[in-house]
Parts: sequence; C-alpha cells; structure tokens
Amino acid sequence: MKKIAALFSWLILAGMLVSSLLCAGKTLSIEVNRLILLAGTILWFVTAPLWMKRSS
Amino acid sequence: MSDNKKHLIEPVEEFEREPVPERCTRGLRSFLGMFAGEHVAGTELLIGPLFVVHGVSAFDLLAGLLVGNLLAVLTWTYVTAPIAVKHRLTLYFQLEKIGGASLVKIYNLANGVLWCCVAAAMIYVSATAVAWPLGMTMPGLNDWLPSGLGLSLIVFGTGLLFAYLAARGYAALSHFANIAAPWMVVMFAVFGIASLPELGIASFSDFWRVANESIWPGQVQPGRIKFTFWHVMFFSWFGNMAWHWGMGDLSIFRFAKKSSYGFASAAGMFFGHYMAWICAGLLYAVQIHRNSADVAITPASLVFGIAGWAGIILVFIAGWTTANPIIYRAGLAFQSLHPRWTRFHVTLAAGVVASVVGIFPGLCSKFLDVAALYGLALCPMGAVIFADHYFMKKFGMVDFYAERAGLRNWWPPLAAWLLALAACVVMNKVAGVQIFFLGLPGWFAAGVLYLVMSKFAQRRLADGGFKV
Repeated sequence: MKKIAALFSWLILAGMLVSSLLCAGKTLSIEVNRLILLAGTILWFVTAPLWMKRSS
Repeated sequence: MSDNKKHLIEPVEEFEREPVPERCTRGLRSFLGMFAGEHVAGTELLIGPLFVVHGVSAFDLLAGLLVGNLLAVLTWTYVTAPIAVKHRLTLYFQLEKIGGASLVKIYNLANGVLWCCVAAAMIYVSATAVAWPLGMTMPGLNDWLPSGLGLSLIVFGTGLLFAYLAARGYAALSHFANIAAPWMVVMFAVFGIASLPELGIASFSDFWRVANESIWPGQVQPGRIKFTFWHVMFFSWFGNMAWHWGMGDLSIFRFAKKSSYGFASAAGMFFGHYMAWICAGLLYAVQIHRNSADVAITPASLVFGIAGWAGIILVFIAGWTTANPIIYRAGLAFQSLHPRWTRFHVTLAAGVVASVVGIFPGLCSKFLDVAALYGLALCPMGAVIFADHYFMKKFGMVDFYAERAGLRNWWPPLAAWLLALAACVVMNKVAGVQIFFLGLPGWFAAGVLYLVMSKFAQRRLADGGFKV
C-alpha cells in the first residue's frame, strides 16, 4: 500500500513538471497549468504522509 | 493539567548539554530532506529578484552561483561536519567548553538575535501569502515601514504559529520539511519552466539572448550597488556562512552518523540556492515584463501570475520550513543563557521577537545585506572552534580550556571575536571593502587572534603554576 502511495506521489510531481513543460511549449494554457499545479499540490500533501515515515 | 497539555509544554529531549548518543544519530535521508527543505525556501523568492535589482549580468550570475555554492558544500563537508561528528555537541555547549559560560552568553545573545532577524524575513515572506490574496497594500521596493495594520497583524500571527511549531522540536519540523521538500523543489522548477513563454523563450538559444537582454540585463536600481561575478560567488558561498564557517550547523550535524553527510548540503545549495534563485529571477523578469514600473518584491504576487494558488501555498510553506529550524536554533541560543529555562518556552519567546521584527519590510528589501551581516557577525566564533579543535594541541596548548580549568570566564575567544569584527569594520569603513567580501578575512583573523592570545594567556597561567 505504501509503495503504491509513494509511486502515486512521485507521479504527481512528474505530472506537475510535464504540465509546466507543455505550458512552456504553449501546448497548455497558463490557466490550465495553474489548476493542474493546485491539484498536484493537494494530492502531494494527501499522499506523501502516507509513505514518508516519521523519524523517531 | 491534562496529559495532552503536559505533552505540549514539556521540553523535548534534544541533548542540548550532552553529546548525541550513537543510537540517536540519523541517516543521510534526514539531512537531505532537512537541507532541501531549509534552503529551498521562501527567501529564495527575495534573493533571486534582489540579484536583478543589483544589476548582475547573466554570466556573472550563473557562473558565480555555480562556484559559490560548490565552495559552500565543500565547507560544510570538510570544515563543519567533521567537528560536529567528533564531539556531537551543539555550537553553544562547545563554545561554553572553550570560552566559559559567562563569556559565551554574550555571543549567544548576539547569535539568537541575528537568527531572529533572519527568521523574521521568512515569516514576512509567508505572511505575504496570506495578505496579498486578501488585497492588502504591499510595501514598495525601498519601504522600511509596514504598509498597514492588517499586514502587520498577519505577519505577527504567522510568526506566532511558526514559533509554536518550532518549539515542538527537531523531529516534528524535520518530518514536515521532509514531506514538503520534494514538492518545493518541483514548484521552483515549475516557476522557471512556466515563465519561459512569457519571456519569449522557445529554445536554448533564445534563453541566452533573453537572459542577457531581459532577465539579467545588468541595470542597477537606484540606491543599490552593482553586483559582479565576485559578489554573486561570495554571497552564495557566505550567504550561509554562520552555519558552515561559523559552525552553526554543529547543532544539526551532531546527529549525523558520518561527516560525509556534509555533502547533503548540496541538496540545499544546488536545488535551492542555484536553481531556486535563478527561477525566482525569472519570476521577477516576468513581473517587470508585464509592468516595467512594478519593481516591488512581493513573493506572493511574483508567483501567482505563473503558478496561481499552488504558488501561494508554496510561498507560505517555503517560509515556514525555513523559519522553523532558524527559530529552533535561536531557541537553543537563548536557552544556553539560562539552562534551566525549557527549550519550549525559550523557542516561543524567540519566535515572538522574530514576529515583531518581521513586521518591518525593509529587512526583506535589504535581505542580501542582512544575510551577509549575519554571517559576518557570527562566523569568527566558528574560527575559534576550528582553531581549538585542530591547532591547540599541535601548538602545545589545551583545548576546551575553560571547561578543563573550571573557568566561567576565559577571555581569548571573546576577545578574538570582537577584535576580528573590529578589523572588519575598519576594512569596511576605511578601506571601503564591501560587506560581501569581509567574511573570510574576518574568519581567519579570529582564528589567528585566538591562537596567539591563547598562547599568551595559557602560558601566563602555566607560569603561575596553574595546571589543567
């Protein structure tokens, strides 16, 4: 379960980078990119604590 | 008092006055997260634009940052971390062993106050993420006073929140920094990438032309000095001088299993101080591209145009993850003034001081000078620790002299610090050496002065039959 959450988290970050690259290439508008970044941010903070262990 | 409440106010065991035991050391990932979280920070959104304000050229910026950050990583790895891992003590307790409790109190007071000033800038950056979306008037580039009561209250409230979280201890802040760090790195990269089309950059060849013409055109804003390669290199090397040359990160690296973990600082230097400063410069260029009269540096406003609400969240969290360890360190500094004070309460008090200072935006518009001054003021004591660790026995002297001799006041460390700072003031005022270049001469002066004065003072005591 943790591995799936971790994989999902990294994919979210990769997606944020890809959407910005598409924005830089003018394939994606800046408004859509902003929405993707917000969604990615929320999903990161939901999923990352599931697999990032707390130090003792 | 309920158990829950007791848990909140009781001090957390952080080994303030004893070596960190081997079983409590941390792995490399903890340091990577800590450095990435701490140095990919809200203040990068001030520093990147301030380089532009100081009229740096594209080559000077990119090359200066590369060399300066590399030197910073090497300093952490080969100067700071070996001493931290050898003794596993906080900076403050180690200084107490060298200079005695009373003398070190003066240094710790200065240390804590300066760290509060740096934390104040972080708090201000985060507060803009709350105030700017509410439509509050933000200060101009050269304003020293707050632009309104609302902004002041938001800065103060933000600071109190950060202070409480810092007071909870290292583990809590390390965990949050670890979670946020990868996202922050990606967000700064996003700022840079998504800025490119607005600046008319469609290829690598476009980048160099636009970088020289529009991003870092080399035009100095009124009232600022012109920055060259050397300014950028020394600033990026010495921007964190208090932590590496000045040994502030003894408090962090005492938890490291090996001194080679000093290389973890590269995560902060190259993702933060290299990439993030460049990307923040791109954001500022976009702002000026849209409105050439808008030269104010308001982090929330800078990022919103490119990244929207995700950018606003970044500004808040990036300030938070940086302010946390700095307020924590300031708390350790103040606690050493009176060891019976709990670190929790002292850290809260440090946070309140930082919150009040953060209300004044002039601190942020002059942040390059503030960062250089803070490094310069604290680094001579790092030279004293370095000299004590490597040269005392070699030159026939006793290390940790105050502790071994049972002295509360041992004057050579404080005298070396004050004389080195006085020499820096003379170099600045008489010879006109800018503050960005004074760090290294000040550090070496303090080390040499400490050794010479120790030789004189220890011999005098030995001649009087004093043995340790």
